[in-house]
Amino acid sequence: MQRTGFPSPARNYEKLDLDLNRLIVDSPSSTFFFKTKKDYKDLDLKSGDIIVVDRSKQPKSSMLSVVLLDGHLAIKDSSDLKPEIEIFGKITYVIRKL
Amino acid sequence: MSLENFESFFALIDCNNFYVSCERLFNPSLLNKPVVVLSNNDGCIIARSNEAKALGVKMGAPYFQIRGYLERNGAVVISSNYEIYEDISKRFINIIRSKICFVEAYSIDEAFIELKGILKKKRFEFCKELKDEIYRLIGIPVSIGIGRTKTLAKVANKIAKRHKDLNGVFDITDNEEGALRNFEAKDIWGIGKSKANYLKSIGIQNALELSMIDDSFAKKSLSIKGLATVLELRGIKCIKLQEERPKQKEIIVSRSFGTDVDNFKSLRESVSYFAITAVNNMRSLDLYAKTLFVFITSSPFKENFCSYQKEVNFDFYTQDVFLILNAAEDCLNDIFKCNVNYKKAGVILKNLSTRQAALGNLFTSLEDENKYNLMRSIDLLNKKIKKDAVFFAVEGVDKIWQARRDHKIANLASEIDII
Repeated sequence: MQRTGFPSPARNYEKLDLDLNRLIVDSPSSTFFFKTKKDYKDLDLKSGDIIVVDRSKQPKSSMLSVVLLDGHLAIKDSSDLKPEIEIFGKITYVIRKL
Repeated sequence: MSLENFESFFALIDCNNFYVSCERLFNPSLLNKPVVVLSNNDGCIIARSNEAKALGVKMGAPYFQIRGYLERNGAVVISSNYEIYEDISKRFINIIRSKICFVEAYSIDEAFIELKGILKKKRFEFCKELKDEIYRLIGIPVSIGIGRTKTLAKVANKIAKRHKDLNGVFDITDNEEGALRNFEAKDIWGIGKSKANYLKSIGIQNALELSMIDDSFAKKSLSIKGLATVLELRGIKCIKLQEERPKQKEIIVSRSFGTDVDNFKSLRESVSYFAITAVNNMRSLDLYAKTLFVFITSSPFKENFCSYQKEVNFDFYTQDVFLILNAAEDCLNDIFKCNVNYKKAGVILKNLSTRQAALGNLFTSLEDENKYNLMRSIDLLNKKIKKDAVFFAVEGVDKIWQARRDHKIANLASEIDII
């Protein structure tokens, strides 16, 4: 004799676990995460933000990019980049702790 | 269309100065400077930028011997960051797999591919695009060599690396004879130091001469493997693409200590930590071990070098971290001697087997449910909370024996840090 409860009507509707990667990483092979170390007033970024950078994305004018500047990585607005500046990758998402 | 258009070729894709290229990716201040990467524990040189090679820095050179020379020449010295190299290596293989099905991940920075189904005239173009795609996606420069066999692809790869004007891709097929004539025998894949010396002694200097020696003589003087090399140089395929990773025969976890260790407690911590790491590696491959080997040694560069080791066999194949940890401690108890400055310790799991084979063993008692669940729970906590959220007390807390990494470069100049 076995007693069983009423099966959950929500069964078979279970969603997969929350996974931020599936939302924000299109191309795992070319995506890198960085953390900023300073505030950028004009770019609306704060120190400690996590930025998601995808090297496979083509620059669009209204995007932010990580670029090589005097031997270090920096963040710049894609619209005012001189052509000789080497781009590390496009910033696709910014994750900020509130 | 004739069949020869469909003859399958091999290509070897090799990352240029891989560790240095990984470091430069996130730290562009290293570009155009001599850069060397040191082995675990900062012992010897394991990677050199082209600028460092031009200074005459040799692969494997002990760091303490050339430290002054490197300083005088403005070289940047970096401790290895294996986590980053592994991560980039995985991406490198995944990008290649996304373009072609027939891939063999040959080492951390090399992959063989078989160009099946790619037309003869498209071969070179395909490889050139692959090289550009790898650079675009992960920023790592690679060289690609193309040939009728794996050995010829290896030769072609070396030629692609040597001659800048080739832009990183070389197909040896159109002039095999000329290319092999200008290629030293000692640089051929599979020809080690002793074979190279032997070949020199019988007057064989270059790859073309080697390809023309008599088969039975090759087999007699260079073994069956040497014969395969000779045949491959002639374009006869002997070495297949290994798409499956070969079954691991043993798992080794061993490190040199940052500072010499003479007390039992620290040594026990390190051996325990190595044993746990080895078991975790083994479990991630879903293998079982029947034999455990523990060793401790003093510095080979100092007087009174000594090395102690012990091997134990279990009654059955096991993945049980508790059992293996206890066995490792027992081994250490048996071999430890006082008044020795130990420089290195290690744990080797041998006699590995898959679950299937382990079950077939007559005296198997595969982990009972509870132990197995406990190990699973520890894994889960460490995955969910953070690495080492739960660890064995016997591993120690401060790990004073851990490897030296004095040259980790804090990337102070950059506005951002890699996570």
